Amino acid sequence: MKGLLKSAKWELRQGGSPAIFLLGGLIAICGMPVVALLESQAIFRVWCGMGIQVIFVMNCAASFIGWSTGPARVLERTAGRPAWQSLGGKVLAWGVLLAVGEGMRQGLTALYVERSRVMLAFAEENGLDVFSPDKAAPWLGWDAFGLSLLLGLTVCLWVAAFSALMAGGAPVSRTRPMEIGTTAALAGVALAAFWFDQAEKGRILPVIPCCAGISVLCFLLTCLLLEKRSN
Amino acid sequence: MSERLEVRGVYQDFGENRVLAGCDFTLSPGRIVGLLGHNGAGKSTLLKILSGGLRPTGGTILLDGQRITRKRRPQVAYMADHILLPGELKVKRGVSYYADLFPNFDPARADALCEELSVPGEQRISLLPKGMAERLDLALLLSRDARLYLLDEPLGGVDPVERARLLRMVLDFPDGERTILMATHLVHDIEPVLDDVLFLREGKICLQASAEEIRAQYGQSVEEHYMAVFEGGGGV
Repeated sequence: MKGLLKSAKWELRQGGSPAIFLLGGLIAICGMPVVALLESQAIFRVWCGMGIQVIFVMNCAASFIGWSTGPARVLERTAGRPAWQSLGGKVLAWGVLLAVGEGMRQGLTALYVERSRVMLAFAEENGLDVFSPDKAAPWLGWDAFGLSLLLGLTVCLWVAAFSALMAGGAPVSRTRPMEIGTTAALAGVALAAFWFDQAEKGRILPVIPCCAGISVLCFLLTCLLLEKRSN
Repeated sequence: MSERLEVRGVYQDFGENRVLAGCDFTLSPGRIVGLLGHNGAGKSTLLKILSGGLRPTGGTILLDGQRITRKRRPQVAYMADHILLPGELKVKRGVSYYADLFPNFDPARADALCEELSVPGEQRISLLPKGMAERLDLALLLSRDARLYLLDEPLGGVDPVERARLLRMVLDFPDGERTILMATHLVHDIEPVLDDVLFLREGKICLQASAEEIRAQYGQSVEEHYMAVFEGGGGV
């Protein structure tokens, strides 16, 4: 357990850079009005549902790829730290960071909803076809918070497992696993957004149990692959 | 007195490529041992296996007569051929990170060694020149209280003055109990500090002897005998 908490501590120190919060916030503030005017319901819903989280998820995914395929894992193995403690600590740390990111997203979404009423009322009165900010309402509150956090972590664990699988569980030159991992991350984010949207309409399996199951499987697979190469 | 390290029949396959083909050797306490072989002989692979960074395909490894379990892993200190600390950390943070990983690590000693070796504490590890990174790595290694120390090419890429400095540190380190195993192909530089040598050829240990024995038996220095064995393809 000590190893898990130490792993979380160092991941927070390295992952919690102020830059990602600043970048995420800027993109959310600037992006939301633009997305609202695109007249695409799916894009608007995805943006409000994921938006700022994409920045955090990509950072988390990059950290997981670098860890599962890089030299730091070798150092941990020589210290006798099991993979589940290292990965568990990272999941804990990124859970905290993603939660903060989600809090930022919800705050900015609520702000946008409030501030844009006047503007959009004017637009509607003049026959312009734009979105009502109330469509963002489902993405506020604790349910949305939990779902966004779970989706984000699922994407990251999926990326870690994919990278470790491609690397055969061994540290390799960073190029190929980074390319594969980045592709997997982009695919994961897009899939998560689509799934989220479809699940709301009752079209596919419920998001939460499926995400939880995928997360557990990816966690176990990553640990297994990384331990396979060590004593 | 039991041997510090016993390696029996260790072999390693990477796909269809057999890198180590059954290594057998022992290391005694308090000795400085050179693991010598040409590039690609499998020296780094062997050290990674001994350190726990890689699981061998087969074979047995005993430290002080017992298997190296996860709990005993920190008793083997390993310095790879490149620094393993996260590059985005600054040196001072890197020392703290190392302390969190290894319970037998003395951060105060590491800080003192870094200062003695002029390793700047506020510099990012990824931006350290190669020689300085080697010094940091060695300072971290020598600040651990372990039974066996593994060094993979500690002299590669550093100038002769730096090499002499690093070798002096290694020479001053053993206290009759700690054993050091150094992999290198810079035989000439390392010979003065060696007690014993292991020659690794075609994935196997083809010679295990003390430096004195080689000089007495063959009338050659370790370097001369190394050249005879590896260049001439002769017997040991």
